Amino acid sequence: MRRMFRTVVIATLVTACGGTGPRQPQLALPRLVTSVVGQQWYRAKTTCAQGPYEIEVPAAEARWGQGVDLMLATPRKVALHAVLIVDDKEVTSTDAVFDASGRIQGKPDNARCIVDAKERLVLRTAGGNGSGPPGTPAQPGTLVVPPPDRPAPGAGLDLETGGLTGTATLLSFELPELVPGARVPRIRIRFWSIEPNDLQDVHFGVIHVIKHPNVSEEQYVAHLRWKVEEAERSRLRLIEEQRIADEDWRRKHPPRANASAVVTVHVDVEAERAREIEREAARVRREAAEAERALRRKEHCAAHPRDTGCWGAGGLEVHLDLERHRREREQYCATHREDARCWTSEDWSQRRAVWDARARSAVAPPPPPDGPPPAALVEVTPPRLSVHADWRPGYWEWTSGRWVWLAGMWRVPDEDIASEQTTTAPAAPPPVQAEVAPPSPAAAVVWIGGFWQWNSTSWVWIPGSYQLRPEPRVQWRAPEWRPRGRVHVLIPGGWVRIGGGR
Amino acid sequence: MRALITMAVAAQLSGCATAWIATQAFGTQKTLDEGVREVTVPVAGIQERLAVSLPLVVEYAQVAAGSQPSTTPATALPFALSCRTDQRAKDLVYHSAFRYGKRWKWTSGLMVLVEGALAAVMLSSVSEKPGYVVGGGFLAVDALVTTGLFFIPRKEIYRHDEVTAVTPVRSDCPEGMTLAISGEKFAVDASGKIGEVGDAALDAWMSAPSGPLLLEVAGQSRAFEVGYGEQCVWLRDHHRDQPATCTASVALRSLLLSIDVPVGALTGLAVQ
Repeated sequence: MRRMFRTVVIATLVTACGGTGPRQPQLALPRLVTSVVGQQWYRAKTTCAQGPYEIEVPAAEARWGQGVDLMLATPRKVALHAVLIVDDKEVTSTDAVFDASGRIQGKPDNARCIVDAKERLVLRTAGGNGSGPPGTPAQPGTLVVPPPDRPAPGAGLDLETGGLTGTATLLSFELPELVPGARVPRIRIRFWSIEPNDLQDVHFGVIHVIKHPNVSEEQYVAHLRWKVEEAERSRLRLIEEQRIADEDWRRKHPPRANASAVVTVHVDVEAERAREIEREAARVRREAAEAERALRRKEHCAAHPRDTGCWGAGGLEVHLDLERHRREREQYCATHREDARCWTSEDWSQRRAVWDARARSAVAPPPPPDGPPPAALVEVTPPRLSVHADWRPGYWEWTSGRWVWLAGMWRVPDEDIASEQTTTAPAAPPPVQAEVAPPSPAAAVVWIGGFWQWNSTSWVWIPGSYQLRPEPRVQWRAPEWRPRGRVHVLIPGGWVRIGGGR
Repeated sequence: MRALITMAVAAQLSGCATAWIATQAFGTQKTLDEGVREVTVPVAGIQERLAVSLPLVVEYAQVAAGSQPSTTPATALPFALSCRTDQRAKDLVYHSAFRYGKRWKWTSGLMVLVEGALAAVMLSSVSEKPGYVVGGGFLAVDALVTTGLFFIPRKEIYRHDEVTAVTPVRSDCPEGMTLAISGEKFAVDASGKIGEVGDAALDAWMSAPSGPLLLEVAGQSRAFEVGYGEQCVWLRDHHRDQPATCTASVALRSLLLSIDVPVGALTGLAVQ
């Protein structure tokens, strides 16, 4: 007995203290985990750019699903519209302003890439003389090209090496699992911006992950099967519980015996038919009597032309006269369709539909672009116009519901002009060439005339172009060459405030 | 003026005869017509006219009635011209009716009875208040005259009048309309706006006018007449943050201009 008691106490202590033997390994719950299979970083080839850029993600045969993330590492705010396309079908998109922390409010930091009141001198785009992209005329600033299907080859990205930190996720998408043997989808990410972004030191990353079980595939499949069966068992259990509950309720609440109501309807078909015939006969009699009365009244009125009861005030004579004027009106209106007094309600509604639509569109906000801008036109930057001038490349401006190319311009600091650190030429330029401005592509742009530029050896004519007025209260002042001793100094054209000043 | 209104109201509300006299005096006998038939025949010769108003003062968004008084300033609306297109012409209106017919007999007969009864009650009242006596006397006289009017013979009327017909057609600013400011043309949209650039140019023009302020539409053009006073109203209202540099004792708050255009130029179906 004592021995048995001692054995029980020892066993209890051993059990309570966790035992002395090795712990059983804890089994991991079967689930899907992700693994990064590809990560690449890119940077734009140009500092100021709108895209569109496109990155193709090499899809994997991932039975359990795969995901794609578009990442952004940026030192400043950039605006981006990004779409993920699977087999030529857009599956998800985003359109916002981002910084390193992710989506934010506000405007992008792209001041040096968009038109500015300090810009001076309009410069032609390269590709003039008809060598531009297909469908683009030689005149800069007038081009309205439908967005292409695919980004143009030049608008590319350079592959970057090395990882980056401080990134934000722009877009995240998970593809459903593939049926074994199914075709691997083509995954593309396209992104662009409506205004050019300042993309210096901005990197775009694409991370491709695939999903797989944390156990062997057989175990995971068995686990899934068990889960399905468990769910089915649970469902059946619930149905059974409900059935028992229903039976219990019915036992406690037996149905009351309802007294059945019997309605006997006796229909005398013959009597009903006779009544119907009588009603029809009465109607015919009534109509005949009315016709007879009308006829008699007509005869009476014809015989009594002064009867105002028949013909109204003035009798038949006035009645006929009014009828004649009514015909006069009809004849007039038949030949004067432009007279609003003759318009029918249909005429009015047709016109109002057109005018109302115009009025609505005038107050409606301008439509956003329905796709990326066309590929940027290739520009050749002309010689620097002053010692400290900065070049703002050309870009596509979305204005009045269309894309308009704004040619690149030099930003010449006021100090350079004041200190005459601009281009100098040995002689005065030739007379200004006569230019015919092409039709304005949009109401918001203004025509900037061309001018002569000295390229150190000869005069080059820089053709005019349409430009966006950077502010409402500025107007363009044309460039001029001023003699300074034996040379001529360029005073660049620029935006000046209406009423003076810059 | 007040006395005149009182008299007119009294004439309409008081006795039947008094009302009849009022219609004769004010030339509104047409209201007594019965069995009216009218045919309007348009007379050839239409004028199509666009009336444009240029506001000189800043307009503000309407605050909904009944809303709580707000401490935030009202929202200034962007500058916009307002346009109205109408067609003007002459109509010949043929009017056939009769007067003093069945409706007149019934009404005047009933009024004689009612006024007579009221007069009898007021005059035979035990109270001899002066108001009762005057009122009763008035109704008695009115009933007496109405009795006479009851017997006016039925009169047939058939006449025609030439009247001016103005048909308002549209109230949006028509397509192709421009406002030329200092020689630069600014398109006017359907809501009358000329865009930010146009607004800035107009403001600069008001400070220092150069050239006419020319409105062009359908091949016609006309300049707004802007005087010193109007300029002053504009500058004072649009630059409230700056000290006033001018005084305008009498000036308009908006400039009006009418342009006659070819018929159909702004109202035709092809116009879009």
